Amino acid sequence: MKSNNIVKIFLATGLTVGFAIGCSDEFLTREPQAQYSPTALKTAKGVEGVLLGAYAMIDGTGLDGQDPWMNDIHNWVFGGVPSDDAYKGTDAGDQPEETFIERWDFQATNNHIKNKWRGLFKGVARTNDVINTLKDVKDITEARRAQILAEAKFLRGLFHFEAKKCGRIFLTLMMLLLI
Amino acid sequence: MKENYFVPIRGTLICGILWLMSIVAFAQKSVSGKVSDPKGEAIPGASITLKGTTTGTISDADGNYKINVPNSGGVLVVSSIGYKNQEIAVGNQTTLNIILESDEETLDEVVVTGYGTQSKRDITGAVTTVNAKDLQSVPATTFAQQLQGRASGLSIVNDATPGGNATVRIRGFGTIGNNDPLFIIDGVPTENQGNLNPNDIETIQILKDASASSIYGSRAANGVVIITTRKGKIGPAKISFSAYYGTQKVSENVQSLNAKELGEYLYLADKYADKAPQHGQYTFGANGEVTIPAYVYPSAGKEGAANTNPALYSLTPSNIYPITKSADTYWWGEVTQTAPIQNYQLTASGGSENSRYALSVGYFSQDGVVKFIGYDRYTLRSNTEFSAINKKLRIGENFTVSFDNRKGGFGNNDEQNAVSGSYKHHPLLPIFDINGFFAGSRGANLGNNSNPYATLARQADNRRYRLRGFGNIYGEYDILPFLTFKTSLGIDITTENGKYIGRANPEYIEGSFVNSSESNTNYDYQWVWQNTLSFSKIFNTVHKIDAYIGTEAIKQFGEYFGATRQGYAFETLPIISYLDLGDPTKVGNYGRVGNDYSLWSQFGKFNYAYNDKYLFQAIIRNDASSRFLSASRNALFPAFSLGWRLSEEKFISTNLPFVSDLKLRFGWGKTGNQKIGNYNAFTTYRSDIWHAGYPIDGNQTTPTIGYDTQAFGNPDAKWEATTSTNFGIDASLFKGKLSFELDFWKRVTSDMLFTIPLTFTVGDAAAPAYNVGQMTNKGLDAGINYKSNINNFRYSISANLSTYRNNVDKLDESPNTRYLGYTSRVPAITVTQAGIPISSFYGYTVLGIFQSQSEADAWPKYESYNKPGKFKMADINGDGVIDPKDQGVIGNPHPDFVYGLSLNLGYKAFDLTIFANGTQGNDVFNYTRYFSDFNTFQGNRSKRALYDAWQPSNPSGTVPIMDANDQISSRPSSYFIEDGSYFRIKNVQLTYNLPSKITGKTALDNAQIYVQMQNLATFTKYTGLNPEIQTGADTTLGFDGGYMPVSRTFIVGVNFGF
Repeated sequence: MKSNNIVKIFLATGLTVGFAIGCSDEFLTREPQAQYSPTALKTAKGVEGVLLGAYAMIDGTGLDGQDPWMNDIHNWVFGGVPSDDAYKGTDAGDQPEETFIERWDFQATNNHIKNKWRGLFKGVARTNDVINTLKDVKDITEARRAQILAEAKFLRGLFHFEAKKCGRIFLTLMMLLLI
Repeated sequence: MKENYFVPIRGTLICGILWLMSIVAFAQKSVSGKVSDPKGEAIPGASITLKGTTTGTISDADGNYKINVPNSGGVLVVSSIGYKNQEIAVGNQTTLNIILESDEETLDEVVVTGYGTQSKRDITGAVTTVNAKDLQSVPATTFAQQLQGRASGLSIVNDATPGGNATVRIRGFGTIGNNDPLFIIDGVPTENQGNLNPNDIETIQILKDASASSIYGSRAANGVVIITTRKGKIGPAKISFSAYYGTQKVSENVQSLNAKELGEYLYLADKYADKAPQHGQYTFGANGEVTIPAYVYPSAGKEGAANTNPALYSLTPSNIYPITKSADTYWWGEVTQTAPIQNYQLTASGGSENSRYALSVGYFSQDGVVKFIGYDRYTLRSNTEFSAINKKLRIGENFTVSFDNRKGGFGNNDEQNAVSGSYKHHPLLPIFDINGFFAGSRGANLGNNSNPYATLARQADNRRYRLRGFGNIYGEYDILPFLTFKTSLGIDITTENGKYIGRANPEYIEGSFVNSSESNTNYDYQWVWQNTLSFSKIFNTVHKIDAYIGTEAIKQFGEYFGATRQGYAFETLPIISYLDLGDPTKVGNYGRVGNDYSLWSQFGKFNYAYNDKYLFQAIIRNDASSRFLSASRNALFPAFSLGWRLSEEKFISTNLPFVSDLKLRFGWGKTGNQKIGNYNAFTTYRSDIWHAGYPIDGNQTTPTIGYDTQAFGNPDAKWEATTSTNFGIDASLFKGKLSFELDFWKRVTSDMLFTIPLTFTVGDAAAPAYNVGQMTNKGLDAGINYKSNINNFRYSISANLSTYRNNVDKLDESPNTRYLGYTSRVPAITVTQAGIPISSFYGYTVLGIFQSQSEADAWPKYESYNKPGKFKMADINGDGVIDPKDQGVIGNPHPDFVYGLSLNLGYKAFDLTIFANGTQGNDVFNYTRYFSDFNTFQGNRSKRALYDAWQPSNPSGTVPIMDANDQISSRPSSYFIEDGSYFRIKNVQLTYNLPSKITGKTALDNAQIYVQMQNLATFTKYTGLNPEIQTGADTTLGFDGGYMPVSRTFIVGVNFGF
């Protein structure tokens, strides 16, 4: 009977230990689904897409959680309203921050100003992304490479120009290196 | 290999058994009798064992038993759940009738903690049990709502919408991310509490501190709620039916102005803004008299005029001329109704020696107190267990299928929902225009709010169907009497199908003639596979050891898919419910992944009890999660706890004889949290029109789509750990009449996973979570219970109280980092920052109202705002100027304490239950005041804005003077912060148990009939509709953007048992 028990204990612990080391690393590895990884973009087609993404920042849409008019290139909020071109209108409570911009009363808590910076620097970051990705792309003609680089640099200049119109800009070390 | 071992084993087994039987057969006698309770009623299913052996039997349905006892005599141990164990020596008699005393002490109760069960006497962690009777006395959609106020340490905030989930928080807010606790239903963990039928629940245990919950380490940092559903009990089949029906009505009403009052308000707002009073609809007299026009569209139209000729009416894309008469509408009254709530449940359960079963079917239906919304649920549950090989092998399953249906559209905290709309929509507008279509606000100065009745009516056909299968199948085998192996496979599968119909709303000033239909589906599955090996043995009668080791593997995955079409020719239900008949050139579709992670853990638990006096427990668990990369994937969570049963010590039992049980507990442990995105470690890109579309080729209609960064990755993220310490006392005095429990606890969350705000220069994408923060919670939980009786009158009182204090120790390296909460039209009003509680309110401090121009001039300058009747803002930093730097912490949404009170009185066949709960000391940000108290949008105002406004004739007013140009008074300030403390008599129930004289004549075994009032009264100073605010994000607590109020419900119900 005693050997019986010992055998049973063996079986039990053996099974449990087996389970304990059974599961492999594969069970715990995940690859992002329905999203691109950076390596997928290091191709000729990929870098064209990233460049398009940089162009897409011009119209002001594409930033989660903010309204497109806070950042678009037409600048009706930062150009048209504070000048004589446009009057904000509607009710006092509809977009009150624009009334303060209209009266040149620039508050630190004004979301329009914060989001303008956010959009412009996202544009800059995307153009930097093009320039960096371009370095790793092999299968592209030299002419097209030069074209893409030029377009990215132009866009970056455009976004910095917009930022300069609003105030001081912050030159990052990386940007200095890339110039 | 295994085959070779079995043959010799079988042989020795058979020999051994025969040998045993032979010995036993020659020296035994048969003892029989009946087991009954003091009233003489039979106790079926009582266990009778011969002490010191494995010989045993179960009493049958009539309480009779028969057992073999050696001729030399022996001791019979008789036990049954709910009764005190008895040991009786067998002498010469062959008939032995046994009477078992009812067990007043609930400490012998066995509760589920961890992957096994524990006797309540042995628990050293902070565990609270709530039993089904207390839960079912509150009719509610979900069990979480029923838990409100029942246990100390729990904070439950209800969602008053039909089919809404309650937010459950155990001991404060431990982290900046997701604070939901883990729910374990019959051993299967889930984070989703939805659509489980609360009537199937037997008991709920709440594990509050780490020493109890760390066995669930990987997701237990916020506490664990263990739910056990009804299994069968041994005995003949019992069928029971219960039903209730009730009516609900809103308990609070919106205080908004009527048409004439609003005219007076607008007159004054223009006058005090130094404008000539003028309005697109009202005509103002020289002294502020208000005349209401006959028509609001055309603006200020007159009866019989050429432009109000009904023949001119038109509502087509080329000609919008919806002639609308004026009205005086109380919108809250138009969108609310008295609504029914009902529930029917049929249960059958029973068991025999080798099997037990419980089957239940239920139907629940609740219509909304806001029109056109509702909720239905159908559930089926089957729990069975079978045993074989002399009960050594047990196989069972617990499974439930539930189907629910959420009808109509209502979202809490939505600017355009029915509650917000009732505050804002203009009273001059009617529901319908002259041709019976919904009326909108296209006339002048009527605002841009949508018709709340129309919004609800148009969404009445929206449906969200959900089918959920949840349960597990398990097998247990006793390898040796003290060694058991159990394997269990659990699943949780949900599939949802939604239909959202967007009907054209051309009357709405921001509406259109476009209609649409969206159909979406998602599914989510989770499987859990657990294996445990448990050991339970008593050595030398005083050393009790329980231990188990085990493994658990979990995988969860979900996917979403949806499609929309626009441009339907007709909006009738058969046409617009399906996509095929929509315009195929106006199509949208999407598909993405929801949950996607897996977990793998190993754990072990060891319990030692010396003579029931000194208790020790140790737990260790190792978890690995796919959300972290392999270098930081594993984490170890240990815990231990100690208990000392003082009541077993001589110095207590002799000096304090009234103490039945007194136990001191101490626990320490670590639990983990990994509620971050599934792909936190990866930098990823997306590609869609909105984020990355640009017409690079000059195309006028379709842009070319590029790529955009979706998320940045943090490959170094690891588990967040919460270390908690708990010290507690449990006492039971006067033979169980008075009992109390008291716990002091502290939880520190370190390596807190926090999505830190990124600096804009790195670009913009979803930020990953970094392990940078730390948060501390400490508090106290107390519960007290007293029950007694005087002849036929029985009573019991119980109360519980919990407090917690939350402090964010740090968010990241910088002490100035701020995490802002929800922002809508106003800048963020909650801030989370080092040194203050999570989600504290932030804004200006209002000290009062200026009474005179001289007072306003003497005050620090605030742009050009200071004037009589305006707010006097505090100059917090004393720099002589009011500016954004004078914003500070102005409120705390966390309560000082929450409490629950329950009173049960009984006299003969009647029982009266009163249950109340409340919170004290929490602040609420009443965002609805932004629209109703200030001249922000054109629309209605609250009565407060007219009658309590400061005017030279009303210097004690608390609301600023009406001013059409005022944009500063509405900035986030302490004006919006209100005291959200409340005391609510949640439930009063009177039950009558039909006497057995009546039930004996029918097929009924027992019957009860009851009447009940829910939410009878709420005592609060809060001026909004409901001080109980639930939000989706714990970084925006206590923000009232338009929440459905609670309803006062009157219910009649019956319970029958056959």
